[in-house]
Amino acid sequence: MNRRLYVPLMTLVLLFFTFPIIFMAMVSLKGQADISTGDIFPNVLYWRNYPDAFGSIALDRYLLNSAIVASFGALLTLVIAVPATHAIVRYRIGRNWLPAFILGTYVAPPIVALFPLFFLLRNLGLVNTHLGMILVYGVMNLPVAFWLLSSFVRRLPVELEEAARVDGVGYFRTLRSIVIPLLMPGIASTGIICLILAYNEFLFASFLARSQDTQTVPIGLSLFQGDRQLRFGQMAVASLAAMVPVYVLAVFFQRWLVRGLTTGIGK
Amino acid sequence: MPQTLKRRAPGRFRPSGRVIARLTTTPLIVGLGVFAIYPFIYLLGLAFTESNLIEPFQKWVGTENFQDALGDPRFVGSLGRSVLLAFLSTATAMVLGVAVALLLDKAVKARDLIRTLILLPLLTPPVTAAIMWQLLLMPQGGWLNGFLMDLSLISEPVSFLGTPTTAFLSVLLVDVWQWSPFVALMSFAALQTLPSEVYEAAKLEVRSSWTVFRWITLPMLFPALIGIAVLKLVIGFKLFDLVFVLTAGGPGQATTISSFYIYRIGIQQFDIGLAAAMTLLFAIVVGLATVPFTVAHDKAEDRLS
Amino acid sequence: MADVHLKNVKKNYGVVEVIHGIDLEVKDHEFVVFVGPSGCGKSTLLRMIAGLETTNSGSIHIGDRDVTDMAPVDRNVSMVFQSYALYPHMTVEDNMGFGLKANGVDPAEVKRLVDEAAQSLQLEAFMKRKPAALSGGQRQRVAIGRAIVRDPEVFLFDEPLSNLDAELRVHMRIEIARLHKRLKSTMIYVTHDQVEAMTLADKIVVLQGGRIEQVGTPLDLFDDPDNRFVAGFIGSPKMNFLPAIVAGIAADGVTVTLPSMNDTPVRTAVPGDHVETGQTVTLGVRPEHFTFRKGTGSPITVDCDVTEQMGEISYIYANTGDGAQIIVEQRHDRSTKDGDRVQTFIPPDKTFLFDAEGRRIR
Repeated sequence: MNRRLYVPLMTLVLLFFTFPIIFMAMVSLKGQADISTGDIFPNVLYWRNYPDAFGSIALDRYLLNSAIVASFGALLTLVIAVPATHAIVRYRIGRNWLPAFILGTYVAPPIVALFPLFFLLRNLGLVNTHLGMILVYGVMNLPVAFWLLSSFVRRLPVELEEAARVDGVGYFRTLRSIVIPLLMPGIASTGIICLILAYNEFLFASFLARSQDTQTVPIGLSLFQGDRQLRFGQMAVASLAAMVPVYVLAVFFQRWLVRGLTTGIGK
Repeated sequence: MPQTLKRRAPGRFRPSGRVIARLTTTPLIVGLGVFAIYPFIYLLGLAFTESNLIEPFQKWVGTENFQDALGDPRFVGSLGRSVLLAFLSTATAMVLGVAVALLLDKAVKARDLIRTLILLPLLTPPVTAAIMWQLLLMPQGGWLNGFLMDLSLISEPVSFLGTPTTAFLSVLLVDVWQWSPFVALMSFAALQTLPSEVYEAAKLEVRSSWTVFRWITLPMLFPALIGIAVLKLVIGFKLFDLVFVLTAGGPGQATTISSFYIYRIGIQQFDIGLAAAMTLLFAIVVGLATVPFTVAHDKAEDRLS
Repeated sequence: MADVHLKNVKKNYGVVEVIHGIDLEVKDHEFVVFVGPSGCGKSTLLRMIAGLETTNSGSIHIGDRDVTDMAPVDRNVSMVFQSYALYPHMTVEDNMGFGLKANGVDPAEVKRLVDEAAQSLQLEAFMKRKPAALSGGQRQRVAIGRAIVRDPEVFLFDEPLSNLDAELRVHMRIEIARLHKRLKSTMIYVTHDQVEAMTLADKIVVLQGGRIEQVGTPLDLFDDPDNRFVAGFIGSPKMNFLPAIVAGIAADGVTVTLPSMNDTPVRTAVPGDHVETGQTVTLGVRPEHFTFRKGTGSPITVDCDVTEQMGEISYIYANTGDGAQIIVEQRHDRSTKDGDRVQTFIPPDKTFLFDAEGRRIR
């Protein structure tokens, strides 16, 4: 590729990917009249959208619910997936069928699990509870976590574990003192990715979270759809509030995120 | 891409280790059983009975639900739209993503910053992405209409989300906006694994960078790209929230994809039996659409080794 | 066919200069080997000639063309890489023919050239295979074949044998020597292995820290090193270096004493024009130059620490007083045991003296 084309092309690409975000940030600062002009930048800064948005929907509550279900969901995913992935990779538990099964479950669209899980959780009294959603998110991301973690596990030199065995170190002690510390970058990457996936999830949340006590940010945002004429500014504010946690993670953990996402590439 | 799991793990452990190892996989297997096996069995039960959200399994109805599903032109249409959207967005995101990856490969300055910026659409909650693009696409105050009018390409505002064709293309556009960064980062990582000396050898032999891309880069990248495309295709069939917020399936049925239609049947018409039958049919379509590509992926991987 | 001229060639990465103004002439048909420890700049220099690294100042000429700022493809050079760098998705045939085809050579002509090269390298049986299905030696031959078919003016080799096992390395070394004899083209070859350098080169360029230490034929470098670095680098086992003090200057040479060996005097044939009595110098003696016959040189006594029996010869590893080790080669005598005290002789005409800066005293 021609070097001279690089700068304009890259600028175009970055603009395409960031412009909608920038535009929304600008809308969040516009009054209603300003919005209908379609200009990029606000003519008058209209800060009122911020307190108004938090006033008109329970954004803080949604954020709290999201934080609870996403972080505990991700934690549950890791607690299940880390020892299991290690065992499957190292001991070849389930030969070829188990890994194929785990990854195969990822192919099914989530709508498949929606109604059956609803009935199951209802029978357990877990509909509209944080616990119910944590369980769903914890399990939902298992195939992703397995896929990400298994390439990290495969890259650990097996000799370290063998040395521990020879020294008579027990199974869980080896896992805790050798495997997990060395796997930490992979666990962190996986954890962040599962966290974001759970945070962004909409379908299950829309069905399982029936009241403000459990509704997450995406559900809260979708409620703005009710009256769409008047509140674009507030909608933009709420959307920004929803994105900020994820973007903060992205900025701080960019390397881990990218490493996690791309870990399956190249062997 | 999913790694081949046939490889033998190096080293052997004592049998007692194997027993514990097997035990530690139990929660994973049980969890996925509940999430993936149980729903299929349950769906079968629902699909052959009359069921609603309050009370499932009211009475056996045989294949009636399946007949209703296949007799519903809206559902059959939604299947076609799901398939079309998944493939179109995969193809578009692949082309755009690979192009961005090649561009990223040329980046010398601010690589981390550029990568972070490219990552943002991928991390954006789909609901939020839908809202963002709604703001850009709306007839009054939407930036795109103003921009096109300034360029005199249109004379009066277009309701992009209110016109069937443009609404469908809008869903496609936003999905591509969200997922081409994923393709770009994965392809970029794949590019980095290609041996640099092979490129240098090519540099000594060939002048045109297009020739190098066409005959060296692309063939070497091919297995990885197929893997990425399969993954994107699978993800494409999971699409739901974007449609829910951006167009609510409309106008008319223009953007009603199967998962959205099934959701509506279940939640608005309370006909869970019918929804279950539709879900099973949809799952079969997804399987038929993706399996050939996973096979192609395995073949492509074999070709290089 | 062409000669290669480097004039005051420099390379830097940011503020770090890695090649410090190198002047070099490689004659037409010559086999030149760049040798030196890792990080000495030998590969960088080769890659600059190939055009894979930019040259920050100075000039590179191939034949009468100034190629300093030319793209690699325009320089008419071929390169054989350490990792072979074969195109993994192409058959052997396509690997060798790709460059020609991509540059618009008639397919029939490509086929003829590829077949010819394949025949000379005994690759005919593998033409339809992919690199992954070949052994290391076969891959290396394909890489060489790919270089040959383009009929370049200059062949460049970047440590081509270092991924092969010892036996194959010797075999391929001979094959490359044969190739040079047959093609009579200019070849520049990078290695860190001084045995490869000695056996292949018409001319060796010893590099260290981005500078040329010495240029010469293999035997020049062995017999007549310019400095302590070259003396130590060429020859195996390494030359012994012993701290010494000039004790006397006579017509037939300088006599030094060895402080680490109770001031044992050692006569050398080094002329005394450039030293003075009492000067600190380094005495260099190659392990194979020690003798065991009285009257052949200055006697020294060493305590044998470890002996290595190699069959025909054995090496005596002995400690000197200051803890350094010297190696003495012994032929036709296996009697020395660990712990023995051995008397050996240093012939005056086989000694080297180096000054405090490591320069050879002649």
